[in-house]
Amino acid sequence: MRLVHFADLHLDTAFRWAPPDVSREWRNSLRKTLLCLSAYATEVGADALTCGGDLYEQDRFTPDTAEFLRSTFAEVHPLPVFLAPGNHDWFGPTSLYQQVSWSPNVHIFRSDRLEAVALEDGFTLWGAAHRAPANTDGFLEAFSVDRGGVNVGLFHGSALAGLASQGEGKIPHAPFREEQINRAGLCHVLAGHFHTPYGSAALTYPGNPDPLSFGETGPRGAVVADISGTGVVSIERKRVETFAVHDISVDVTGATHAGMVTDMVVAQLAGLSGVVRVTVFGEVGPDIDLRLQDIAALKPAHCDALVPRLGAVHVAYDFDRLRAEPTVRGQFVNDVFADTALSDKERERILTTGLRALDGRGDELEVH
Amino acid sequence: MRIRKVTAHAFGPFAGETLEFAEGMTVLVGDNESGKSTWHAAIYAAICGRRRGKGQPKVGDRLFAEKHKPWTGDHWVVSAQIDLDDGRCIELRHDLAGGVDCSAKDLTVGSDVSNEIMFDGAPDGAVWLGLDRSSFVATACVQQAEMLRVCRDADGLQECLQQAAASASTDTTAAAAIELIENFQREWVGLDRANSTKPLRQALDRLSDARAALEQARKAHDEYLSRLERVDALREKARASAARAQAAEAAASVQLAARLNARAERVRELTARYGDNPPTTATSDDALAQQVRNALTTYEQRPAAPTDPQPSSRAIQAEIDLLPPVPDGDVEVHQSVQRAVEALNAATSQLAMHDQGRPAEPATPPQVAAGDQELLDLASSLEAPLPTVPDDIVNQERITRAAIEAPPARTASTVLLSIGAVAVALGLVLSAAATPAVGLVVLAAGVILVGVGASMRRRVNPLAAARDHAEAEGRLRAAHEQVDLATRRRQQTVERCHQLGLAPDPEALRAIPLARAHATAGLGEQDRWLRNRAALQAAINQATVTLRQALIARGAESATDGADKVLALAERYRQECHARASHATQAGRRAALLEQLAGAQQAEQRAAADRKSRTAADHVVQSAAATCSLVACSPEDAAESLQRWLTDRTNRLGELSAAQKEWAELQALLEGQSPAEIQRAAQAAIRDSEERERCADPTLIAQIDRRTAADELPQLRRAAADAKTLAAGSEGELRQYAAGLLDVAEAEETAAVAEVELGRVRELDDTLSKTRQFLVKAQTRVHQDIAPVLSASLKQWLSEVTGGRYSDAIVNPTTLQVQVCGPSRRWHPADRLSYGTAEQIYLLLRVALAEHLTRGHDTCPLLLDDVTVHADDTRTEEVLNLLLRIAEQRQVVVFSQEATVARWADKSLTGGRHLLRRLPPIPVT
Repeated sequence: MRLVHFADLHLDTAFRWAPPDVSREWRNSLRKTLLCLSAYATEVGADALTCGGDLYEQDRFTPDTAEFLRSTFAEVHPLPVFLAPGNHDWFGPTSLYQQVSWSPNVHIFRSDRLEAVALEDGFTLWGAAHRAPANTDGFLEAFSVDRGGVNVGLFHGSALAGLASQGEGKIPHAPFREEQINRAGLCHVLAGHFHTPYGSAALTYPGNPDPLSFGETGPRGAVVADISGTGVVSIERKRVETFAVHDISVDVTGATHAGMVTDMVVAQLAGLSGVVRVTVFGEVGPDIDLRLQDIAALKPAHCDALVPRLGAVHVAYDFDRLRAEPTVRGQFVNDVFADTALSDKERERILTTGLRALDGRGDELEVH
Repeated sequence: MRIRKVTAHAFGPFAGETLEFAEGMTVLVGDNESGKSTWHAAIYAAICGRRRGKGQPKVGDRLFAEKHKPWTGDHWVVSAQIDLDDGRCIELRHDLAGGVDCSAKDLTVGSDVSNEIMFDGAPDGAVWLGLDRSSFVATACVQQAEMLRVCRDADGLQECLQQAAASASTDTTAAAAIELIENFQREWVGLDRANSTKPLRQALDRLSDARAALEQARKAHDEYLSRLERVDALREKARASAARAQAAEAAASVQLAARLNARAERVRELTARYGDNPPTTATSDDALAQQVRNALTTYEQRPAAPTDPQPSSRAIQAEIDLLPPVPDGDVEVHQSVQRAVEALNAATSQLAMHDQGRPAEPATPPQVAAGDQELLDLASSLEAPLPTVPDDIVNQERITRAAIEAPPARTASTVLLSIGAVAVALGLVLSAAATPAVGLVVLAAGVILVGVGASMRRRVNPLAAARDHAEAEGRLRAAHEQVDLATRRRQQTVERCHQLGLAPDPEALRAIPLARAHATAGLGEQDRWLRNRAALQAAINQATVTLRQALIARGAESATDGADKVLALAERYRQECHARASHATQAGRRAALLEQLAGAQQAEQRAAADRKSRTAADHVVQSAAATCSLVACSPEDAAESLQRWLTDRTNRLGELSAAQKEWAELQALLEGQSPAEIQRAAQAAIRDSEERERCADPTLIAQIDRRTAADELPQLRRAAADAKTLAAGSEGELRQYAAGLLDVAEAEETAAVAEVELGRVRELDDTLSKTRQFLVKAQTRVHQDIAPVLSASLKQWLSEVTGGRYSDAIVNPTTLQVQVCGPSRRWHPADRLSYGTAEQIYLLLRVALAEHLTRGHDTCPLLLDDVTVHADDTRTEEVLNLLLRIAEQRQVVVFSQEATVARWADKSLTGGRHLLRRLPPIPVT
């Protein structure tokens, strides 16, 4: 039995961090990725295509998305498609799942209890749905399969042991412990919710196939799960994204003017495509007038967009010497350093602004 | 720090030339084109070097390079030898072309001390002064222009001080920096006012708009979801309606299939029975059958066997003939006779009864010469009892008399009173003592004894006894008198009775008036009876007359008198009426008998006719039977045979009719189709119904009555169509609504961008505000620190350099405004003093500032470039004299082209600490 599994595509999501002119294009790219996933499932001869939830976002989905999903899955007919709604695409009366006239090959799990679908003799897929955007109990609580053969789970949930790998702020929807999987009689769970790929012998999170934010690492995308008649699961990950997001950091130490910074950034962009977040850091000269829009304007033709960000950029003032000055400047520097209520970034900005003002640089007083 | 010498290895026009400086004051005098400014720049460059960072050089650096690069060759090198306050002799070497040949070498120990003074990529000797190559210029170098500004600008001195206090440079003041921030904040942040066009307001508006748009988009999306739900419900309703219609169709199709199948079965059955040939008809014996039916009808409708009427018409006629004639006269007693008879009988009865009540003759009363009343009074008198003296009166008299005669009982009453009084006293004592109960008893007994005693004493009063006896005696006497009077009256009554010859018996006396009354009443009654009898007799007579007249009136014989005779006549009249009545009754039967006779005659005629009809019917039926070749012994047999014959024929006709009907049914079932087509249609209907059953919901099918499914189907189809139309309409509306749906994600992104922009502006606002606060605070603090330093420095020198005109000075710690005063203590702003005084004060302040800014570091030399070029000779000398005084504490280098300065130097610069050097013109190459 071969299953191609994916999750957390998040169609119609909002890219708040992205430039407005490209976010729509990226949303379209998410759709392209689903097309790639479907084609890939056919290409590898999958017995079914499974989705572990968050296929789309209930709060934002458009009628166009509904039709897109219907036609996409209809095109792969008779390949069975199993959809287990997650916390973003929870199943309810107004759910997209409820509105679409799905082709016969599409099966949507609608219960918040695991339900069985026999894929073939001796092979059962157990799926469940989130029926609310929050407070969904773990699907494996008090659950046990009622049959023999190979039993595989499909749902959107949080493996408690893997939460730490997902960074701060990940909400543990439908939590479960990995030891519950085998205890329930399942040989493996194909899950969704973790954007960073995660897995173990009994559990696989494919991660979001397309980047939804910067800093997402790991072999994310689709998962090809080959399951033997004895329940042995072999997992292979496959990248399917249709657009790239790069997160680069550029050390601009030594730059004394904006031109040097832009040169350094451009040099780092070579060979990159898609969306690139550029974080500049380092120690720059005190005369430098560094502006984010100048960096954003550097977008080369081979990139879709640049998202500039200032990292730990320090101005190379000789503060020790300045603090020794018996002048307003020295006193100013001393006072700013003495104010413990200021954050480092805030202190940096105030010092640079004040020193520039004292230098008479009245047009360069905005410091990022 | 003291500059020993500067070597311009390659600097401007100089190549390997060296300029040495005195420890105190060095005056370098040269005409134009002698290189004064070049040497001034070379000194600065030899001390501070040039910034050697990456990237493009600053404008000032670029101008400096353009102005002072060597005229020939690529090398641009200067060096200087300086003495530091700590005794070290340092050689500074700067490769100004950006090379690495920059160093600071301790000539005593030969070590490189560049690290002590590295600044902006190159050694900077100003660092030993606590300055840098930027602030060195502002602190150590005094330009001609500064002197001019001090003298010509009213606030020049104050501004110069503020600049130095701000950053030890001449770039800007703290106030100017603050103003720059305020201007920048005003322009790039602005105020949060509704009418503002600045970034903050714009960012707020954009965010507000974006959030409103986002809210609108979310509401629209929620509305979209809500509509989706409604449409879904309508779809579900339409689907349910369609399912019901589909189920009804399935049920109806099943019913139809069953019907078609039954039709096919029937067609098959009829086809097997008749094939393609229609059944024969039966019309050959219709006429005979009609004859038979007519015969049977005639026979069945023949009259019943007739019977002759009883009695016959003949007997009735005979009876009629025997009837009497109708009598003449009354057949019943006439009322007048009847009433008269009754009246006479009543009157006779009354008289008889009256006679039976004849009163007896009354008795004769005794003859007594006394009236009834007297006799009654005598009787009453005799009946009245004689009175006697009452015993009580006698006893009363006896008692009262005895009371008078009996001894007095005073002693006993006295004793009782005494005992009672003692008992009362004893009772009171006992009551007051410990035994109140006993006391009360004794007291009560005493009171009783006293009462009895008092009573006894009253009764034995002699006066009262005498009075009582007199009264009793009077009453006794009166009683005796009454007895005597009654006795006398009785005696008189008895005597009267005797006188009347009557016994003194009250009853006898009373009987006499009573007998008298009886006699009187008997006589009255006798008289009344006689009068009444006479009246009754008169009534009899009258009734007799009346009866007689009535009889006469009725034609009866009459008698002359006598009630009995008249009554007998009346009785005879009555009997005659009775006889006539009997005859009349007999005569009255005639009409009925005549009618009966007519009926009998008609019945006898009908019977005859019936017999004739029956005979004819019998003949008809027997004839029909014969026609049908039926053998019958009697008409009844014939009729029965004919009936059977008809029944048999009807059965035959029924069979033929059924066949015809079935044939017609077959034709109707075929409807022009062949049996095979009918069969195929049935099979198709079955298949269709099975298919429909498969597609329809079996639960819904089970709820439907198949018999009525077809009837309900139109309504269900309409309902399904309506629901579908409604759902489709709603779907259309939804699509239309969805077409205008705002993109929530895009709205969120726009809001996010607006939030970021607002955050940027707010962050900028916050940064600028805080920076300004820090700068204001630092400015205040530094001015407060510098002001007393400047004041003290001025006070130290002021009196000497101004020849005693001014002796005291103050510096405003807020504005750094300088004021001076002389012995009169009138304060004058330093800027407003004479040029010479202002220049001197400025130089003093520059020295003070240099002292202040380099405090804790090496002594800062002063390099002055043509600072007296616009001063007259007097002012020039005053300035130079001041500088000479200053040179006692720090190295002073003066560049000048003036002869006055040269002369002053020749005259004033004596000794080894000072030096006058004349610069030769730079040779033209």
